[in-house]
Amino acid sequence: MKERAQKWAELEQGWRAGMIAAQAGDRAAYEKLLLELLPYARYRIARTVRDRSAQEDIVQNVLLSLHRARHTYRPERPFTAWFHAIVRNALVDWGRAHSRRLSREVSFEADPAFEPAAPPETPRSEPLSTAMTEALAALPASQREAVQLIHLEELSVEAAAALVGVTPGALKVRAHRGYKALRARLGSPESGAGR
Amino acid sequence: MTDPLIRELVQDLLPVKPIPRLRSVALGLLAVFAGVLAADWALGGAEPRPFQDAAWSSPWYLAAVVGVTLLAFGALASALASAVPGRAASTRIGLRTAVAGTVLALSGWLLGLASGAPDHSGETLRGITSCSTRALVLGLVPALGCAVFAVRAALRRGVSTAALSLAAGVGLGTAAVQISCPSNSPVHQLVGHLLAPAAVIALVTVPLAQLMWRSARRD
Repeated sequence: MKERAQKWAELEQGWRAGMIAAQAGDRAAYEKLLLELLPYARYRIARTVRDRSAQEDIVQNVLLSLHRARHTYRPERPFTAWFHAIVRNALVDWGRAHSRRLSREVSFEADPAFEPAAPPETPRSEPLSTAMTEALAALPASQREAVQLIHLEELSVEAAAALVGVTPGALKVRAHRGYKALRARLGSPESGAGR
Repeated sequence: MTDPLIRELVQDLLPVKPIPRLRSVALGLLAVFAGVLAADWALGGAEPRPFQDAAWSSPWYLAAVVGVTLLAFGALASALASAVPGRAASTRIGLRTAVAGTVLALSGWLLGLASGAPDHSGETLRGITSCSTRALVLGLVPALGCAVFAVRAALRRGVSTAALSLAAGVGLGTAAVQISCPSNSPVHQLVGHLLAPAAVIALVTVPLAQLMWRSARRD
């Protein structure tokens, strides 16, 4: 947990510096930043959308949105929360467009299922078990969100709290309650039922 | 496909100035509103009720004043935050505050109606139109300021941001009218200070949203 927090703190620092340099017009820093963010965006999107071509469309929308909204990042705010909000907005937009499309079209073939892309250096890339997925779905929305952000997406508590809009302490409480409920549902934590 | 896009975005990169802090923008808009209000008073607009006025000791009147103020502040916070990625929590809190303010103001006026104390027999359409027009005029500049900020930032939900911007501006106007209107009638206040401006907001929201989208695309 401490190592993960350390890793996120380092990434956050690097990305924040990259974004500040990009706002000042530093192209090399901007390119480095975009290339570093790309796998994280792909990973986050692949967790929600299975169609690979759609994934790439959303990734491109994320990059375009980030480019257009780069002036809305303020250096004193956490970069990760800002970036995740852009990814989340792109996913929501895609979801809306997809639903509209589906409501108008009649498909004769099932969508091919793809394995989600694994992000580099992300230790939790293996898929969740069915039991864990069901247990997560049964949690109250606030606890599920806390567990997903901290435990599954491996954000630092500070970044996740900024994203959700609560204090780190409040998020920890939600996550703790979520873990407790998951343990109660899945059995002991050592059973490995979730993985 | 993504690598060429990154190259293109990098080539397209120009220095940008980060948007100001939302708190500073909100304070700036409130300062502008204070200026509009001062100009209105200087030009002979109705001034606030004196503190000795009996209305200040009436719970329903106070609830209405606090309610419309909360509505304005909440809508302002929500409108500004809704155009900045990563500020979903502020958007939500602002929206909840605005809704709570509306409920409080409505409760105040309904309480006033139920208590039956104020006389509203002499209520005229002219009085209602005058107050609602004043609330709209006073709130116009902060509402537009809010909308301009949203366009300059990263406008995402045009209609809701337009509605919140209008609610913020007109809410401020309504708060000013509420404390300066000489009428003690809850019917007059409910219709002239809230419902009539709300109806205008409902009519103007979609055209403003379309204008905001067009401006955002041009930017």
